[in-house]
Amino acid sequence: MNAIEIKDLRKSYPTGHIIRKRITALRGISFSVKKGETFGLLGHNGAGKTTTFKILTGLIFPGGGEVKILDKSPDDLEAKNSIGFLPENPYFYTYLTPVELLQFYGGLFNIERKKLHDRIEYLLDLLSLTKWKDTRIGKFSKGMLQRVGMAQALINDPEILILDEPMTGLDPVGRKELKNIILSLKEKGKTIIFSSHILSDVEMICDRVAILIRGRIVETGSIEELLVKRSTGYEIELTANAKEWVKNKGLEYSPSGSSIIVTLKDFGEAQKLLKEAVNEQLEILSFIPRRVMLEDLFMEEYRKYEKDIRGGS
Amino acid sequence: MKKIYVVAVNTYREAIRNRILYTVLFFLLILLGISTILGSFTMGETRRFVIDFGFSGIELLGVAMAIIIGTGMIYNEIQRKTIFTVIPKPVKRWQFILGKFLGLSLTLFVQEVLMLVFVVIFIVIVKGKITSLLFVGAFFIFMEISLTIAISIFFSTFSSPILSGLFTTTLYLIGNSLEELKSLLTMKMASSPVLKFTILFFYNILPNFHNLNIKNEVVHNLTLPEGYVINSIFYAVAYILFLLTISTLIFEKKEFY
Repeated sequence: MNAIEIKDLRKSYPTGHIIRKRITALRGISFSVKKGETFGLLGHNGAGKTTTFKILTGLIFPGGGEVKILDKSPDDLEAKNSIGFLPENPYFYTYLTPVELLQFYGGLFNIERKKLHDRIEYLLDLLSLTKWKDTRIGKFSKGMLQRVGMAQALINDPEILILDEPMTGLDPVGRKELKNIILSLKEKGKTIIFSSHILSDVEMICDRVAILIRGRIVETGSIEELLVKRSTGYEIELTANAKEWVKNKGLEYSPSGSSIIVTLKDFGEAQKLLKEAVNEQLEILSFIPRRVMLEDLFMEEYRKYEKDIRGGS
Repeated sequence: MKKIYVVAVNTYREAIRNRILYTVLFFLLILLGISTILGSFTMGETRRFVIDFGFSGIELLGVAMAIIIGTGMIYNEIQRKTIFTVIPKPVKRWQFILGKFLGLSLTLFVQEVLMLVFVVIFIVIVKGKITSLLFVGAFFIFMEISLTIAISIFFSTFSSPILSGLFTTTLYLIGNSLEELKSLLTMKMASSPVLKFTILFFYNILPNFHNLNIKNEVVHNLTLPEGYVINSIFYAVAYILFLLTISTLIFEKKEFY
């Protein structure tokens, strides 16, 4: 059983008050998230990421298709008991303190009093909120609200975490801290699905990603699959004293600090050069496939999709 | 049950921190002060003045609070997006609506008790008699307030606070004049069967606040007809449950974009 199963999910909704138009947010997306997996949903603004999350959390209803959380409908209380959700730019009851707020959310999960007290203490500490635990939330900065948001998402120690743009509004320190929290949850075997504009974070945290463009999934796969299969060559890093040797072979190199990097397109060529370098007793610092960055991949897919749309119309 | 309690307590916490509630208490004190002064000019009528002003104050201020807070309660949850972190939790939408209703009812109950304490203190000051009917009257006002909250919640599930406020106020005013509306039936102009049917239809379907108003009996210390209290409680509870059920049905279908 997958943690999350989405099949042919469609959704459109009305906009405008006088002239009612319908906007199609999802055009039949399908993907699944395995238990214990960290899954990233990538997409531009309006791609359908938040709509997907809102359907998963029961805030809106599917227009078609099927959505299952641990084999249950998103409206099922059992499914709701197993998820933690952090909405994009979360808003909370400004008149409450973090402790009161977490007591409220914990109460909705029927968490026993003593256990809830301990859980709140733990979360306040984890998210560096202890100092402000008695300050009303109305006085919090955006970054602090994001921490409170993360705390409420974790109040029930959920099996599945749904995070909509969790890094938004955080400064570099906050981002690093949150990234570490997500990584530690990943280590604990939690299933995490999250969207982010910061592609380097997704690349670092996620096992698999789906690229969502204008309500359609254009690519799904593990980071390795997606990036390595688009490998544009191989890079061999040698110490700077190998410059002459490389030049004599008629190859080009690019300096990188105290080393040089030789780029070869073909794996066989790279293998041959490596053998020769070993024979010459040159120091090989690294050998890596030259990967495209997730950002490049995203832009490539986006351009391709836009071109197809224009070509089709 | 615990989830309803949790939502109710949170609603109570929000409402009780609203400064307007304290302004209302202050306003009632002024009203009672004025009634005592006016009453002192009359021969032996001071108690009547204090009860009349006091109960009118409790009713109007309570109903006003029910409309002001009640119509904005659900709307604000959606507008301020706090609902985004509540609906994903394991709470049924009907539990949320019921919790909201009970939370505000509890708040306005506490407010009413405080106002009643002021009224009783003033009655003691003017050496008036404290009767059990006084407390029955206060309970009837609480039923009126609770019914107003249910109406406010009902309208707020599909319209803005301003419109909901307008609709609720209109319904409250009509509901207080239903007996006058019914008395039209005895007039000549109501001879048309269509008009008769319309009057009777609205008389039976609209919330009859008049039935819950026993201020006159309290002021003049009159005896209530047998079974009146039970019937009125049954009517108010049934009407509230009906409104909350409709509100839930609307809220169940609501999507939060």
